[in-house]
Amino acid sequence: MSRRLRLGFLTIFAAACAIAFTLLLLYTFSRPGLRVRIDLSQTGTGGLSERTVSAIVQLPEGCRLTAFLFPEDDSLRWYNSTVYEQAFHRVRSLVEDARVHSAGNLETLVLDLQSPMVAREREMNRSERKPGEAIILESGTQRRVLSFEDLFQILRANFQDETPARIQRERIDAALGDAIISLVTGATLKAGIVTGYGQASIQDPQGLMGLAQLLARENWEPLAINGPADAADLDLLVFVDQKQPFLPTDLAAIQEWLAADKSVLLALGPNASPAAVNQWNELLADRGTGFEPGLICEPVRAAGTMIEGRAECAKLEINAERFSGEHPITMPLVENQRLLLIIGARPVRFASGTNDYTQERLIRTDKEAWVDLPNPNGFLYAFDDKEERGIRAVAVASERWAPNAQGRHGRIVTLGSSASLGPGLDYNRDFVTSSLQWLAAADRHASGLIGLGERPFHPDRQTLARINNISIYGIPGVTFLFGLWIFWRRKR
Amino acid sequence: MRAFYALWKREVFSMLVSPFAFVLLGFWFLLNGLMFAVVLDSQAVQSDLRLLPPYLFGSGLLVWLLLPAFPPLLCIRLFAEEHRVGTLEPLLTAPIRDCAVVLAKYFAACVFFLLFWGGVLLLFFLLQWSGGDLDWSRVLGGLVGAVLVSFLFLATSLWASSWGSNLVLGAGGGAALNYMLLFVPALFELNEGALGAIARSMHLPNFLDRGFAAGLLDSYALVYLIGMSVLFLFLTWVRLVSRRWVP
Repeated sequence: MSRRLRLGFLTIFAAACAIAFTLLLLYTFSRPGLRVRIDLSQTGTGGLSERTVSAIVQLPEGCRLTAFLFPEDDSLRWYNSTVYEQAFHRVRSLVEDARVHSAGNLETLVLDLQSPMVAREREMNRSERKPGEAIILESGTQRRVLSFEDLFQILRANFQDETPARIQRERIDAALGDAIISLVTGATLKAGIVTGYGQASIQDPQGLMGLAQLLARENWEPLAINGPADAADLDLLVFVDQKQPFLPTDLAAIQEWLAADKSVLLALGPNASPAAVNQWNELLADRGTGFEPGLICEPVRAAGTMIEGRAECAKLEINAERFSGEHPITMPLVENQRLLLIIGARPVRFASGTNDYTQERLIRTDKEAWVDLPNPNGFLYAFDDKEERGIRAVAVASERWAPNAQGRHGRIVTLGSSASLGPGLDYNRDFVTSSLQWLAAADRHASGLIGLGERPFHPDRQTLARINNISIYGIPGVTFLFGLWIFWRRKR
Repeated sequence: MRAFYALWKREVFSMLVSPFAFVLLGFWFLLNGLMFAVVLDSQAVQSDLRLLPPYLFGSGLLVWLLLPAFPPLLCIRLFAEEHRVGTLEPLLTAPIRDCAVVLAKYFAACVFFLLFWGGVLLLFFLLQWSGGDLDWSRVLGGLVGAVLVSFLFLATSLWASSWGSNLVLGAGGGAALNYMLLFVPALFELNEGALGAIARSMHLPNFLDRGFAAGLLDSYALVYLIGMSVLFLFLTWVRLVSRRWVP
């Protein structure tokens, strides 16, 4: 054998050994047990929360997460809006984090407009994806779907000011955590949405469709029922507005339901039938909660002054200071400085009931709020002498001090606004999600909600010109001059 | 160790007094400065400065086009040039271990390449000084990732430089290897099964974009970048010393 050939063989053998060793090393360190991801971000929210990570670890083998990062809503791109760029970057980062933490049980795939069309089509057909769906989680036959709105709360573009849309809040980690937890637990609870007393339909996009979809994503099976009499084997009853009082059979059924300490989500707005409100007040009397007449209004700040007498006064902007920091529903909202927009609310009674139940005022108004009482011309949205300013409860939660013999807590959430669960759901998604988890007795101890600080930078023309001059001409110019000086010195 | 230090110092000094290296550095700063100005002018970045590190250290044009091309240009003189002018043989027969020669040249190139990234970091300081509120964990995370990727590309370029006396082969081969490390995983990333999994585990822009520049330090990415760098350094050493294995 010639020297050259022997040399070639030896070199190839040494290189092959080194490559094999490196591959072995990489394979070993890619194993989930040995892989560590450290969050260096200032707020500690660069990656997934502890709650979501602990849920991911429990995922069974063969789960699949597909992210469809397609900018489908044109209005989110108007006026050079960057909602999609920011959102997609965040989704990519957290999906990768989920994959790393999944102990190899979660296969992830991120598809965007740059992905091959064949791959996009194949995945969309396989997963039966509908427009607007951003993340699909699959485990065997079970699947959970998260829409873009589930992941981010967007402030839409303003046509008058021509201001672009922007991300107001992020809840991707919370939504992903909820979806994974519901996949892990597997069992689906049944929620009956009562539609037989003048309520909107769950098929109506302007009605209760959004609530039904949210229930489905939170591991509930939403069912439209005529009244409580049809709710024999359900786990939750949802009443959003009620235009008529209960018929005797339904009244008996709801009394039986409450006596059995089953869960209820009850939202009656100012337009609910007074007879129905009275019925509910009687039903809830022993809990110390119920509803009062009127419409809660607050002065609106405009042009540096407080304005009354406009319909906007009935839109209550509730900041974190007005949530209860003691209750599992609102605690995560307080921790993450969430903001709710409650549209058209009647006051919720927050009084003492029997000692069997405990009550908590979840959401309250400002002390400048008043209850606008209707007159023949409707609401005036203006404070008058007959009315009284003060703090009012907008939502109250009540439950038994201790679970009953069947382990039921008798949990009820009463909300004074029906619009907040209908057309205004997007502004209150965090609250509703948190309430549904509490009603399902799956309280979150560690929240996955993330409060993101904004880091905008809008330099004036002069500042931008200075930055450009230094970065394009200054630094490279000095370097070239230095090179020229060295060249000159060496030549000398 | 003393010989290693002497050689390392000589290599660093020879780079610092090389007009060609400063021309490279100037072009690097110019292209980065242009990119920085363009990105900063965009609505996206101005509305959220957290997007800036991924553009400059992650999935931006810089990583895909510039980063693989510069290390080979810096490395051609390390072995290919020495081979061409005939100073490599005396160096390899000098009383210094062969691995020390490889490491001294590699670390000299690494130190000089830190200057490349130092200039980019300067742009972020400039932005902070101009009133930008930066998330420094993302900036520094992205910088660490970009520096490690550069070190990997320097190692591949050093190996290409050791192939022979042909400078074009050294520079072109190094750049081709670097582009392969970038593009091949990206081509197969969406494949199902083992091929896709392997491609995803080697996807450099993903390491940067979804890890380092997002403020997340991934142990696997660190092991991959350092491990691959060591592999190419070993291949360089094998290339240089193997001729002595067969008398």
